[in-house]
Amino acid sequence: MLLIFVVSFTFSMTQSIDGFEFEHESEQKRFGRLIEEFRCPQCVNTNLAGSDAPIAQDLRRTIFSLMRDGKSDPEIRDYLRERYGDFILFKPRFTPGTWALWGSPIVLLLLATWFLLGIREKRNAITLNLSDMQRVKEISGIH
Amino acid sequence: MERRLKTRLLLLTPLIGFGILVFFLGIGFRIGKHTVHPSALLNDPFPEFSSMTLLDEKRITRDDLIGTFRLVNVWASWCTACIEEHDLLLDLARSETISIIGINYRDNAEDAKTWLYERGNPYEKVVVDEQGDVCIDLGVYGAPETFLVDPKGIIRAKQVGVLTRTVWMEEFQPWLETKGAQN
Repeated sequence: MLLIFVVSFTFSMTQSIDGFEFEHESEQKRFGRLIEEFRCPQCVNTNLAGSDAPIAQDLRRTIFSLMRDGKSDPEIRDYLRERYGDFILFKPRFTPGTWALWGSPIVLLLLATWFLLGIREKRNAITLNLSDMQRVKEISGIH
Repeated sequence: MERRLKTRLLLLTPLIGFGILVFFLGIGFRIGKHTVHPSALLNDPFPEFSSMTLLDEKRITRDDLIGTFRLVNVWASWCTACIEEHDLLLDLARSETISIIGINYRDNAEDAKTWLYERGNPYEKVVVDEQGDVCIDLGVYGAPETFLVDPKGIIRAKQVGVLTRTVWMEEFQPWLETKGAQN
């Protein structure tokens, strides 16, 4: 069963890269990495590597020919972003417009830490108050 | 006193966090569909291309678009949504409101010709884009998609999806009126 899965998986992998002839393994790896970086414009949260949509096929072909033209990775990213907007990048750029996006996890983490620490402090305070009460009871003799 | 304030503030933290969440979701709602398909290429020059025309099979390039306002419409015979905007395109062509250039996206030439024959042809010229290369340069998500190109070849408006009369009136037509004022 596992074997069938592995075989069919590798088969589909080679198929999706089919039609492109690579000169080096490094070129193929670079292509594989690039097509995983971009969102398929017509699909919901699927990258170019994982989509059979016609537009994903076209974009894979575009990336391949840009690579053949000697374009660098940033140049390829810019080419696609200029045409399809930030939407196509799975990893958004750090711009004035996206600072909130990148910063929000840190802010939320800080808020949560502060909250949890605060609760602990409060709990300690309550424990102290209870033992105080105990002492008050002991001293006063009321049970 | 200060302690009470601190406790109160602490208890408010989840509420503040929720508030922040609502704030950003609110922004998301307000942005709506307009930025899901962002305004890439808006106010940029229409990209260079060189292809053949569908009906008379002549070479057509970006230079052929320059000189007047053009509506560049991406369509295909397999595109069912294109039928919805077809009446509007025919109206615009018949009333000579604007020159319409079609880009026949990933289509079969015979199917495309039959489609135009049966439904009417609003296009002054149709650019054949069998491989979808012209459309990739235009950042097209799919058919239909429509661009307004000014006489200098700059993209002034863009509609992803069906071009409705409302979108035409609100986002495309005002550009033609500015041209009228200038002349």
